[in-house]
Amino acid sequence: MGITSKTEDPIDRGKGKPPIGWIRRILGMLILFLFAYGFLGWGALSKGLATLISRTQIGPSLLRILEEGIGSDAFIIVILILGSTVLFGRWYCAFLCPLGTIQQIASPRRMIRGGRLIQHPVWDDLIRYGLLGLVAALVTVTSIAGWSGSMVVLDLLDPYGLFGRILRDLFFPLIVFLNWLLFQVSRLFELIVPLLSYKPDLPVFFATLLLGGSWFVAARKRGRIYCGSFCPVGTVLGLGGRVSLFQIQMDGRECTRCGLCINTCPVGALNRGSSGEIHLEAGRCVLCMNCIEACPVGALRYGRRTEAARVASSEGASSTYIPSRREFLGKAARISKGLVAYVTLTVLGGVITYGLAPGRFLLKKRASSPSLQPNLPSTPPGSQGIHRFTSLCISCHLCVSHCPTGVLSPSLWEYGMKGLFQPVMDYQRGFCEYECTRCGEVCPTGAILPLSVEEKKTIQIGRVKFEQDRCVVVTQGTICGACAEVCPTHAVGMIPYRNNLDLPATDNALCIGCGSCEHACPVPQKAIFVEGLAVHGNAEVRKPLHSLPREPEKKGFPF
Amino acid sequence: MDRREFLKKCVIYGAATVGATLLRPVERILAAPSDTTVDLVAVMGGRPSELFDAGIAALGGMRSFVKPGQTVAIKPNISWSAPPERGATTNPELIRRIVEHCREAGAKRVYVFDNTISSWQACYRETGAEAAAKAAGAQMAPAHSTSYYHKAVIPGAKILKEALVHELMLEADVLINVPILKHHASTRMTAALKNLMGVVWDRQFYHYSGLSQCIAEFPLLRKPTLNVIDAYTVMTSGGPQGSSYRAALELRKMQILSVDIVAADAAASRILGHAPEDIQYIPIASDLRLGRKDLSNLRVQRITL
Repeated sequence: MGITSKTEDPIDRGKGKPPIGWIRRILGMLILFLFAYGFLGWGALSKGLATLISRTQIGPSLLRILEEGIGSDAFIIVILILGSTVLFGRWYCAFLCPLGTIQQIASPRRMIRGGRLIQHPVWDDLIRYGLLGLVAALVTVTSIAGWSGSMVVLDLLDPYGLFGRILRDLFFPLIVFLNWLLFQVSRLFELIVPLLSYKPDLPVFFATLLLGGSWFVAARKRGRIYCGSFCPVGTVLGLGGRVSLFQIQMDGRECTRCGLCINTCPVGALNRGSSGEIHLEAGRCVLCMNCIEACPVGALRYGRRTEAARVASSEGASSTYIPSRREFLGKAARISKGLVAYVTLTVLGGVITYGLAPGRFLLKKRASSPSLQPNLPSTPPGSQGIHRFTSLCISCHLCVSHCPTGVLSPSLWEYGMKGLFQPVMDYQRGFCEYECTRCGEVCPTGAILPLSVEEKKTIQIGRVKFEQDRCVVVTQGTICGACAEVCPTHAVGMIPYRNNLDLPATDNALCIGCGSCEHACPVPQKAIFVEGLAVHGNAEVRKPLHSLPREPEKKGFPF
Repeated sequence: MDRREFLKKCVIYGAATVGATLLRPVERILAAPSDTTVDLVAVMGGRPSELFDAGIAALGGMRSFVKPGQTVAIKPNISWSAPPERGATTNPELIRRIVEHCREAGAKRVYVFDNTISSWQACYRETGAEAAAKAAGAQMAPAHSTSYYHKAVIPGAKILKEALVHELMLEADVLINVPILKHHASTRMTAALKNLMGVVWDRQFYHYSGLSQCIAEFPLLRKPTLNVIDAYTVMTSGGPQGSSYRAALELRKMQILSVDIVAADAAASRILGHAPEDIQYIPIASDLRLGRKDLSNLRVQRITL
């Protein structure tokens, strides 16, 4: 008798449940690790992994659909994710989104008013749907305007882009430090540990620290407030989550209204109704399963949605809901308000996009510009030009992580407001390797299109300019030619000058704008440099004069 | 360790020490000082490995340069991410053969390294140097980060008074300089002297402060133990990279070996059709008494296979 009463005790009912939260934890950590290796690892494995896993993300996939049309494989990915969200809820937020996992880890075990910027449901909806609308409006206007707008709002809000920047700009320096420590220890044992190449970029480091750090601090206090109130991807998936076939169910008969679940919910999906009952807003729920683990009586479970739950979730607490004329009018009013808001946002988005689009006003000329006249920054080969690139890039810095020479660097203001954080070719740091096409291979948005090595060699991303008065051959009368030495196409060659010296001479028909010459030029105020092209051009590829080694004219030793 | 074992070890080590002292004169006979017989060896008419076998034999074998237990650093020119056929980088077959000779001579460790211009991993891989070095039992040492370099004072230099120099250049017991002979856009020729620019961190200083003078002064820090110039496939124009339409190659099938870095470059300049005086840094290095450029007064051994 005693034993039976114990098993029926509602407090113990919650124990011995399947460890559903652990599925989320393990998968989340696995995905996080795969992302970290894809971004910061080495070798072909890292490149393949990065290419694969970054394509599972909604933000870059949406941009790729805009670029490639609905025939794109990104379209299938997005449809699969949206479709499965309608079936199973926001599982994407539970473990496929790496930023979501970080926020989940950062969230406190118990929180008050977690996951919402503003508690008032209407204001909170206004914020998240407003931000989503703004992003949608900007993307719409930008794509209609033929890629001459800006993705800056998406760049700032998209979880994948932000996560990529956190990995590359904040965690990579840490990895570099650990690598350096390992290197120092390895030398004691005469072992060879190659050092990672890293060129510090303090402005971008601090900007990302500020942005990523703010979200982290917010998550430490108020849980996944980013996922609940800001993330445009989360808001879209929430629309599917609201009506999903499977979702977390609250059994009102079991619930003791203790409220433990409310304080563990990192997105504020669980709330108390007017009479103290607890109800779950399925559209906000990110399926972290915290509430199921917290519930002492087992009133919460993940399963197929019941009719009662459907009604409850759409209308709050009441299970005796009867549609009335009043409700219908209320709904109609909400929909029309939503439409008005969307049109307003589209107009606003259009104005912002128009303001950012010309570039002449906001596109900043290269800060360290070596030329007499400030010139445009260069974008990587495959991006086709500045405006197309800045309109499609989501600033995840995956290409920056994989660039072997470090020429592709995170920018802050080089493109102005319209291209915050987007990568730029910085020839002070490196040059574009002639045989390399890595950035296009890894780019998940299509901002940098994949190229074959042969195609890449024909693309002109900038043009060489030589300022004779700064060249050491002229100013100091010594031999140089560092530029001609490194030029892969002979766009820079040497021609006879006075006193048995040779002077660089340029040929822009052959120049691809790789910046080897600018990088190698020893003069602080570069005598030779690349001027970026707003729209990429074509470079001539000349066949070698002699394709095979010749037999020498003179046989025998010449000495 | 008990007393018995201790005594046993004492006897073994003692015998080994005595044995070693006895062996010493024998080793000295084997390692006849090479520079007394011949100043420069030029070989032609075979594969790069065969050329080296013949050349090093004429200099008394690798044992004249590498003693058992020593650390050897090999500095090829593998600055570009290019296949061996392009003639822009030292032939991997030659690198492999040199490593094998070093190992046979009893070298404890053999390292191959270069401060490359293209990204280092691609250079090490694409030139075939990594595969060749590893197959023969050498290690590829990284040289792509400033952490591998130490400040060194160059004694007697006018311009290149100090430089950040790769630790292997400073610490290895034996340094073997293995350049490839090429046309060069800046200096008209690159071979042994110019190849040592690849052990220095700040190459821009050279270009900014007087390229020829810096190249000539650098060996004042340390002269390579041996210079082996690969002149098998010689780039006669479009150098040093050889990726443009201007590149032209000649199959010379030659190799130059010398302890004298200036003499080696003087001979190499002749292969490219220059006089040694045409290459600015050769006369400067000669004036700094780093070696002799007057080939007619040197004992040159010419071998045709």
